[in-house]
Amino acid sequence: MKNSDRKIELWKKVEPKLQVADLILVKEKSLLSKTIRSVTKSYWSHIVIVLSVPQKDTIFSNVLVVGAEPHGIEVHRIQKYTRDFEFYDLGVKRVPGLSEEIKEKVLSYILNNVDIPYDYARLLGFLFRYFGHKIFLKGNKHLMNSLINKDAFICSSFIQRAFYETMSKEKRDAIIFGNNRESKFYLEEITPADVARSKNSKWIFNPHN
Amino acid sequence: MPNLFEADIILVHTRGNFIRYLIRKLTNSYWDHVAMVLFPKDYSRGRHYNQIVEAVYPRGIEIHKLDKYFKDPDRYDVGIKRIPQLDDQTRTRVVQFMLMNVDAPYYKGSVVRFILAFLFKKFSAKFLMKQRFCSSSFVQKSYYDAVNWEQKNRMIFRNDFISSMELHITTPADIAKSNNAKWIYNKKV
Repeated sequence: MKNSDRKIELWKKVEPKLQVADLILVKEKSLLSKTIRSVTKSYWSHIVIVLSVPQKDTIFSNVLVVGAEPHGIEVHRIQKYTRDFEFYDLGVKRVPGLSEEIKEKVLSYILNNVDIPYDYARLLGFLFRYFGHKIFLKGNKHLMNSLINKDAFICSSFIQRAFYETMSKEKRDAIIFGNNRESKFYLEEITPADVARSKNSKWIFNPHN
Repeated sequence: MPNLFEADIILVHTRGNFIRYLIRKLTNSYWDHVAMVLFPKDYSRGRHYNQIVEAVYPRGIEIHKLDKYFKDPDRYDVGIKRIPQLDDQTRTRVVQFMLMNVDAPYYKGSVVRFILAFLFKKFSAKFLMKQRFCSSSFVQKSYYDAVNWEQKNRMIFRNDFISSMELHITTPADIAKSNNAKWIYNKKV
């Protein structure tokens, strides 16, 4: 059995178990993805969040996901990723103990941010910082910080914000995916790798760091 | 602007776009594009924007904020229609139908054919009986497929007879002119 066929079979078992606000980590066979994975030392390069799942007694029978894509925050069918397991690999994580009320708030946050642009400058900042480390042995943190636009997102910072903004202040600590809280921009610097490694979300499918 | 409901119909007039201009001229209407309300603003649920779903060239069916049109009044004018006496269950079904169509592809029209239809009246009638209008036919299909058999006739926006296989030729003008949907904002035909 081909690797992609095996992945399709595995995915068929996982998809019906998806819940709203589940996190889907994505690995692509592309140069940008490879660079991000190399920079963040992770198997994953992108992340999207589940917006809706099939509901009983209704005609709606699909999974929709939202993520920061090149044109901004966008909604897509899950088939965008599952149609081509030669190109994509997927993993699923879930934040445990989310109430229906919190999921609803996360959804509202996501919908409020549809169309917000993708933050290419921040992505560039990550790459500068990485290559800065390589070349000068020192990080270009100031450059990175100056490139962060808090009104735009990369995929993982969008998802981090969605959870952070909807949790009550007392519970926010339990939902921060990154470890570097000393940074002024610790919510903005979250990468797919941070989400993958975080203990604040649990693996449901295809665990890789 | 009035409070919007799920499945309200948004008509758009776009300035500075040649194809949109041709669509308006060919269909003899002020409107050249159609979208539909997916999730209306609901402050009690923390939803601060009206979300619409529409067919956008070249990427297909997408979800956006309605504000994208209101934010740029120099470029866009917006009108809103509503199907009267639509119960909540039907509205929800229309919305679910729309959601299932997210990412469906855009069927681009031929610019040459649009120009020929614009120049030659004889060709124009034939053209309009074949050309797929992605934005308006998507809205038409959503309503047609979401309602029960007894209601389907009430959901067809064209005045001439077309079969369900031909719903894709419904134009923004058909929706603007149809009595099956009532104007609630910025009535123009």
